[in-house]
Amino acid sequence: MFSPALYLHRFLLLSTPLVLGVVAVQILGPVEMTYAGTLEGTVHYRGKPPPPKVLQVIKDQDHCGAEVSIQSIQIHDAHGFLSNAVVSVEGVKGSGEEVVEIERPVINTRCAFSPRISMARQGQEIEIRNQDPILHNTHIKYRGRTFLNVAQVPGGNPIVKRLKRSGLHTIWCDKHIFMEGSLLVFSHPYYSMTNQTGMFRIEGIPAGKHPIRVWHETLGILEKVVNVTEKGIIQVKFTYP
Amino acid sequence: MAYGERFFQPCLKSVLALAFVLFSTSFPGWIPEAEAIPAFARKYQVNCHVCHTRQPRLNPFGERFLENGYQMPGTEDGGIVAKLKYGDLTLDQVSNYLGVLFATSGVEHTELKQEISGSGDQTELGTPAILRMFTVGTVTNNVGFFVDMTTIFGRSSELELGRAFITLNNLAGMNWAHLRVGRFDPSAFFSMAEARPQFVPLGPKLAPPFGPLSTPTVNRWSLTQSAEASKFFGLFDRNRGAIQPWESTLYNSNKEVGIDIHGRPFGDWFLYQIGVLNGGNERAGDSNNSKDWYVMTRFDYAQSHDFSVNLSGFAYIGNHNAKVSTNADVSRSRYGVGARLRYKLVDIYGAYTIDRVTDLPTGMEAIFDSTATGVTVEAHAIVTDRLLIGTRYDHMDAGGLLATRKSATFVGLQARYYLRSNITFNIRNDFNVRDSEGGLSAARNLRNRFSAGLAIVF
Amino acid sequence: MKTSRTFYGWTMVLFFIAQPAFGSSEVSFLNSAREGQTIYERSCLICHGVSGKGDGPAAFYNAAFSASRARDFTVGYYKFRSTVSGSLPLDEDLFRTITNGIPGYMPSFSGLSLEQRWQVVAYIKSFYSGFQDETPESISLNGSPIPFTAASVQRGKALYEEMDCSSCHGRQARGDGSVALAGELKDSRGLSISPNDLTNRTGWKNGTTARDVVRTLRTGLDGTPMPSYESQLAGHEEDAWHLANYVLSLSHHE
Repeated sequence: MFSPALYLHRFLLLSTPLVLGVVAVQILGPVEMTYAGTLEGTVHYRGKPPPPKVLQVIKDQDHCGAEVSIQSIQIHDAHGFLSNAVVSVEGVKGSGEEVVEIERPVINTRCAFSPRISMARQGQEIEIRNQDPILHNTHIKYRGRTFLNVAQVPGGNPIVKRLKRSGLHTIWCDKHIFMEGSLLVFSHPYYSMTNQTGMFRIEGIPAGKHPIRVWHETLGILEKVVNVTEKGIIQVKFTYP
Repeated sequence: MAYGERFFQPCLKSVLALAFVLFSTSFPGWIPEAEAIPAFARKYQVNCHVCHTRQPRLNPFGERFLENGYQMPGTEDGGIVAKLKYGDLTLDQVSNYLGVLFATSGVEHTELKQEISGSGDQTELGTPAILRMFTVGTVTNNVGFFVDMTTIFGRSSELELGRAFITLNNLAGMNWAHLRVGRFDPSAFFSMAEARPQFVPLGPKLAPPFGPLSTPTVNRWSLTQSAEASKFFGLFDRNRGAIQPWESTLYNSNKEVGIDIHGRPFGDWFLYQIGVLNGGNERAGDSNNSKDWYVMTRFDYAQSHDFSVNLSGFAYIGNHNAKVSTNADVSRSRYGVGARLRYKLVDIYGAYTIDRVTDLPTGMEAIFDSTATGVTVEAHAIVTDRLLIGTRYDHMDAGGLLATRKSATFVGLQARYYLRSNITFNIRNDFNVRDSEGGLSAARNLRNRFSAGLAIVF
Repeated sequence: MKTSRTFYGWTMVLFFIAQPAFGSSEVSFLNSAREGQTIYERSCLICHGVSGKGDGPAAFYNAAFSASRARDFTVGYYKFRSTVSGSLPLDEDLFRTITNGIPGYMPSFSGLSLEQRWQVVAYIKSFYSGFQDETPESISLNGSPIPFTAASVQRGKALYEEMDCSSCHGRQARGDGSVALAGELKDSRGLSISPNDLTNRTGWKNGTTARDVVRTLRTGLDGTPMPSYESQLAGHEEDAWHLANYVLSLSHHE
């Protein structure tokens, strides 16, 4: 039987001396310095946000209420500072450092996902928990393919799953279709989410011209090319729509 | 007990009970035919729509199944899924080989402009009605059979034999040659198969004179597919019965006796068919010992995007397969092209045919137009889970005796409601495009025809 | 010149040391896929399409307005698996579906020889690159089934409520739970999908034995709202068998 895992394993075993040799040459030879910059900025929403989406609850009304109001466009003060927008640097590769294992929970609580929008690094694990006294199923889709669809009874075991691919993972619960969430997975560490005052900050970006992308769950994507220099803080401002 | 039997027996009883009620109030009528054999759904445990777009029309998978002698392509297993095994003996589940169709017009209203004999506009209830039983399937690998028997209430109380043939499949290699022997429908694999219109034929009303070499008076024109029709006025079959211009004949006849081979030896894109028939609408035997033959080729594109299209053309060469009023033999031939396009829930298909009569007796050429053409185009769309709407255009440029021949053009509109996939209500209206032209002819007098009916298959 | 030959020689040596079985199995996989293509094009293409997208010219009619449409082999999710949710199926899972068919939607292709069915499996896998770099995580479905007893059925009935099966499948298990009746259930293509009527075994797509039901419960049906209960059953897997016994008790036995 053809087994890619076995093949890979043997390949690694045999190629290790070669790799070590190459690494040795790299260490002993001249090393190129990489400089890093910092990006700071704000995301705005111009105009008045549309009224929230109101959905009728047909199941577990005792716990979830009769209807659910969802406002995905969260704005702070008159300047229209937009929160929950995810900003990332595109076209850069992650530095060689290990992916840090930190807890990435998606919690079913009060008939909603908390956090509603979350970010993670490719290779990290997410942990799904249910804190409600009712059954939820957490259904995650990635590029049309089921990433996960798991039931959780009240007090049920948490579910841990590794994020193997980068990109947008959409989350919902089939039993309560008003429960929605998004998880953005990146192959590099250069991403951030706007806080309640619409601000974000990304540090340690390799110098150079990079497209900077803003993603918002209902407003879509904005993109700008920014020249990141090794010193100082680059300021950017994005505005929807 | 099997799912099929549980399902089948009570249904058969109720169909027969309903049939009895209608039979006891029998009217003269015609055949609203349809083709769907739920035996296959039972046997292979699949929904009707695995093979049908909507019954009786086939989808591309159903076409391949039909071509393969009622076997799923690639599973030429003699229908093992339907057989209970007791050691070496296999016992077939009978319900997986039997199908029943019952259809009736609930209401039929006809508007006639210029009466030929007597009655005015007509409204009829509960007529016509048809009960058809199918026995069909495979007996072992690549050997299948098909028999259908029909009773049309009012016309005859007997169960009349329709098609009856044996199939031998995948001779000389997979998909190379499939043989049919017996009484079959030659056009089954053509782009427009005779047995599968969504607009079922609406029948005629005939009055005397009946009898050998006499043409009955036509009180009401029949609505059939013009491309498949005889198109000639003043022709008779070899039994000297009149062949009406609307009757499906030759390549597009429903039941002719002969041998037929078809296959796709070069892949799915190309289908050939050749066949030899006794011809002449003869039930059995061949009174003049001459044969009709035909050849059909079809090109298919059926690969992806929920889309398929096919083009086909045939030549049917007749050999003394009809008579004229002088009892002299003539030969009728037909050449035709057809096309069908399906995209998602839209189905458009049609055919154009040219008919020629040759070997006319001397002196007849002056009073007999030996060329006729017909075109039929049908289009359907499945608009909801249960509703299908469709339209059909028929134009017949008739030939035959110049004194009586009249061309005809009709347009029909239809809605079919599928209560379940095997229970159908339909309402339909056909109107005569040429009714203003006048003239003492059935093809002009029929102005409008409305019908509402239902069909059940089990 | 010498260098390149030496390099080539060493590479070959390494290759054969590394993977004595690999060369032949890869070749046989490719051969299988090629043979499988011929069979696929005759038996499967009309529904699953030439590129495996489930858009063959006949697929649409069976599921125009509601699920289940022919599988799109290029996306990489499968309903009928013996692997964890989100994982690719095992070859055996694909083989089983080809053999049994799916009641109502796909005929059984048990008429194909065993070899031909494996060849089709190989070809189907070639539509999705994930089959080359992912290892399916299978769920062990071994273990002795709990006998079909009144006590087991009773325990299953309690679990049916505890696991909230009734939200979708209904209190009477007729596929008429409140979520289903509200019309909110959709499959991955956005088509309406109804939960199975558990009192009528003829329509069960993933099989009708207790083991089939247990498999469905533990793996879930990817691409549909039916979730995997695997982690909820961890440590007390026998509950799945009790639940299966209860579900089987709802329909009559042939």
